Amino acid sequence: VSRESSDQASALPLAPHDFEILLSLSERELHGYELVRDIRERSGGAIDLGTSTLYAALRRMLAAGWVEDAGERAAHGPSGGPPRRTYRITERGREVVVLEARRLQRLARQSERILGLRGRGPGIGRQTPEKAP
Amino acid sequence: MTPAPGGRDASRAPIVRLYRALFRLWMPREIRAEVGEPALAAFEDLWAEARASRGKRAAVRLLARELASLARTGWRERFGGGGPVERPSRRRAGWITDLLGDLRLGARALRRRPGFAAVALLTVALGVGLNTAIFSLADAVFLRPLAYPASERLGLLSTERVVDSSGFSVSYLELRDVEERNRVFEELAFFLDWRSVNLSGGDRPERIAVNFVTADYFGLLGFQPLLGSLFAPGDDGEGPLEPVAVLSYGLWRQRFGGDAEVVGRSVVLDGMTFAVVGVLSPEVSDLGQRFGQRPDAYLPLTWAEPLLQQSIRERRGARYLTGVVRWRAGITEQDVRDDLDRISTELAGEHPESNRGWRLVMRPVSALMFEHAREATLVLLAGAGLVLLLVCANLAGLLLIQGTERSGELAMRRALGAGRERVVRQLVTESLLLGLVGGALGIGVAFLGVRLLASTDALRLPTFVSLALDRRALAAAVAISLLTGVLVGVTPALRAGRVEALACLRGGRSLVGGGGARAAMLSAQVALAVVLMAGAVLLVDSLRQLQATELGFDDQRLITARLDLQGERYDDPEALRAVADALLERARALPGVEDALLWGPSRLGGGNWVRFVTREGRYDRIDERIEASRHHLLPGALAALGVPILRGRDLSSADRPGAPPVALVSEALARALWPDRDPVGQRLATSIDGEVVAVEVVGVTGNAKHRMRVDDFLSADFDVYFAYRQEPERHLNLLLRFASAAGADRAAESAVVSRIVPALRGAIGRIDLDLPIYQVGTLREQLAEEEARSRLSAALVSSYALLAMALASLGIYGALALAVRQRAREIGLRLALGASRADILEHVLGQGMRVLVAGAALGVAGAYGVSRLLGSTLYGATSLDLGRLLLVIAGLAAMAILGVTLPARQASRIEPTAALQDG
Repeated sequence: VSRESSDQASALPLAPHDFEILLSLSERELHGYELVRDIRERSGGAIDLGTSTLYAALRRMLAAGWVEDAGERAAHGPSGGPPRRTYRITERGREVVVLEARRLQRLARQSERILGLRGRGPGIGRQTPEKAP
Repeated sequence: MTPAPGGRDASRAPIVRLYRALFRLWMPREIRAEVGEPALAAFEDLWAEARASRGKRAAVRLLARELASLARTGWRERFGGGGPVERPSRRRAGWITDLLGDLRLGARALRRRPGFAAVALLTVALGVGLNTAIFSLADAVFLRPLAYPASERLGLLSTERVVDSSGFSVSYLELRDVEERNRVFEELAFFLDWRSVNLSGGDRPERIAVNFVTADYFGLLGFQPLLGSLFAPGDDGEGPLEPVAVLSYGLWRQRFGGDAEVVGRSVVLDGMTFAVVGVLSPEVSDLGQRFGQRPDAYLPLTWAEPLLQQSIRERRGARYLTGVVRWRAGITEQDVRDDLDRISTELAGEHPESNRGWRLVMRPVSALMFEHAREATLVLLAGAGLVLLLVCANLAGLLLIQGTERSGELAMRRALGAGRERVVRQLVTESLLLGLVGGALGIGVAFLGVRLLASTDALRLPTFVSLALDRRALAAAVAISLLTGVLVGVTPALRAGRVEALACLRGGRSLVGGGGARAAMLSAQVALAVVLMAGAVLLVDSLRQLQATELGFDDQRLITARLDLQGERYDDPEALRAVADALLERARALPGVEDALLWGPSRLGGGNWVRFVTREGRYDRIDERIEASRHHLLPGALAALGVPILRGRDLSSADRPGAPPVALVSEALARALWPDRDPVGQRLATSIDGEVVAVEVVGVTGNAKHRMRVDDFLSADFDVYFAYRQEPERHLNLLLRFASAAGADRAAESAVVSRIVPALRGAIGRIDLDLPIYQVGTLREQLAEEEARSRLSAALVSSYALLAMALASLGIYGALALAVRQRAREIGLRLALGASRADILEHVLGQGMRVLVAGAALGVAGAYGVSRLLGSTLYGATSLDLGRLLLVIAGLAAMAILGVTLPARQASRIEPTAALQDG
């Protein structure tokens, strides 16, 4: 782990919204409306970001150098209108999102082990023994 | 008009505008600067998507989520609790936590009393909404400076007939004289505005509006080009001699698709070719007849004569132009007036035939632009302020009752160690919460109000005045809400701070607590409500009368369209006659059309072209001339429109060129010209192209409202109908009467119109490809537009009246209910001592009714005053008679039931044992 990465590691754990945004941007450059849709679809409709929340996060990540401005692209969104500003993930951003993904992976493995979830369907976990008071 | 592209459509959606406004207001500046635009664009996209493909509920959910996200994010960015990086400091969190705690308590207190909360919030919402809407109007009318350089020294120059002060334009030669002789102006330009010409080429010919201007015009008003250049002064200071044109931004976008290479291309106007030298920037707003509206193109004044075929520069009496002037700094308006009077006197001496009896006048632009709106706005502003005061006074009353009800709770808090200051602060926070939540609802009210105000042309605002809920208006709404919260909360809170004293308030005073002053204020509120209700009744009545006015012709099933026969091909009068016949023949042959007629030039339901007429031989007596609308008709047109001929005959085919000129006059005009003689066979004198002509009157028609039913310009129905064949006219209205089988309701009618209009365009295109028709629509639509103004006044006053009524009953309720609570012990005692419940009921009712009756008496007197005042300005003969007063009294009865009976019932239900124990 390079020194820079360990700097980034101090930002972990990421806020869930920030993680989702970085994840979406890892695939391709997107503008705001596409980001909201992408996250919505990926989460099966469970996460619906508000525009203000999204852009406040984007602004922080722009300032932190995790995300950069990728210029304007002609709109083909439902409201038409002027070109839309798109965003792209930076190298630093990619490091952060990968670190966070690793952290989550580790967490997932640990919980599998502790809760005995491996290979079972959802909701049929092994009963944890009750502790005596 | 071209259809707006989708994007502009979406950004004009009211929700998007509201969101935009809230975003600008609430988000910190840095966020707005860095990601504001893309964030708003994303919201627009999401909104458009939700609306288009995901249904109404999804749209509502989206909006709720977005508003929550906006509120939360704005809060976090301002006061801390950021994300992973650059967390903003939490130094302000201390008092904020306190505040949040108080707010939570307040919200809980409101939730516990939903009835009270609903009434209070609604009242605040109405008060704040009304004030915010009126504020944005006042802001547009008073507070924003005009967009011209040194606009306080800008004026328009025109002339006036001395005998009756009626205003006219000014002639070219007069303007030249002013230019040479004046001692007060530093700049002077001339223009001839709002002429329409045919723009040919392109998909289909179009009618556009042009202004002819001298070269100094643009510089004087500070207009800037977006592309190319504006007119450069020519040798004579009048502008370029070549045929050149400056396009408006709108025409450039619409006709040339915003082509950056447009400079150097040419446009064909009424058959003449003009080279485009520049495009105006979109911000400019024009002066002239229609303030603020933008003509489509500007041409040099030099080209007005050949294009309009009107002699402009030779005759002094040819008053077609307007001057625009900037007087020198340090000169007063009075100096300008004196100087113009001097020049007028000189001109009258030198050119008596054209200038005796006329004077030059200058009106400052600042006063002129908002002539109609200023007064109305002041009245509205005063009304709104008054309403806000009433809201505060009455809500304070309600809170006082709450204070007595909560005295137990507050005493408990004091007992548990809360200082007086803390209790007061909590109560003030509660009323602030009331103000702010009510204010947020009020923004919704204001939104509707502004739309109502903006959608009407009753105020005749210049079109560049955009009435919108912008940041200033929203800031005003917040300020008004806070003010309301403080005003409402302070007295009750201070009183509640002295809880001990309140808990043992004794009776013995008048039931309407606070004594005479309070009762007088309540009576005044009742009086105000009565006056407003009377005003509303009068306005609604006037509107009804307007709608019932006989037009004097058959206005059913009529489509009207305008066309102007311009260009060389119509220079020959014979061509004008031939084209009229062809037009009529084609129009009558259209499927679904029962009859067609041509009518020129004065427009039915709209524009007015006048000619002076008088008895033969007296045309030189200026004071005897009567202004009449002129109409040029073919035989049969009067009958086809349904205007009756009362005496004499219609025009006939014998009234040809070469035959003695003839005309019909309306009954009103006939009576004004020949009060004691049979008008048929008399001769009237009029001036045609500067030449006085005698015309024989062959018939008298019924009076008809050819202009508007509400007419500021000509109040009498003075109309003169000339023979089209003897004097063909280029400006025509084509009227089609469609078949009655088409159905009577509005939807069926618009279906018919949408079938006939394209067919009509096609038919006219076969006569002349370059001939546009415009202002196409049904007469019924035009009449509805005309009613809009009366409708707005009626709606505004009615809503004020309803609001005043609601507030007055709230006020009475508040005062009586408070008194009943405060005197519960006394009432209980009386009951215990043998008073019947009916006695108590009667006692409280009597107290309330005394206030009502005093207010009503005052109000009825005021209402009569108002009806006198309004009666003279309203359409139709309207006065306050017994029947209308009964309506007002019915309103009063409603107030009485709401405001008085509730507390009276409460009083009569007091259980003596409980009341006595409570004390």
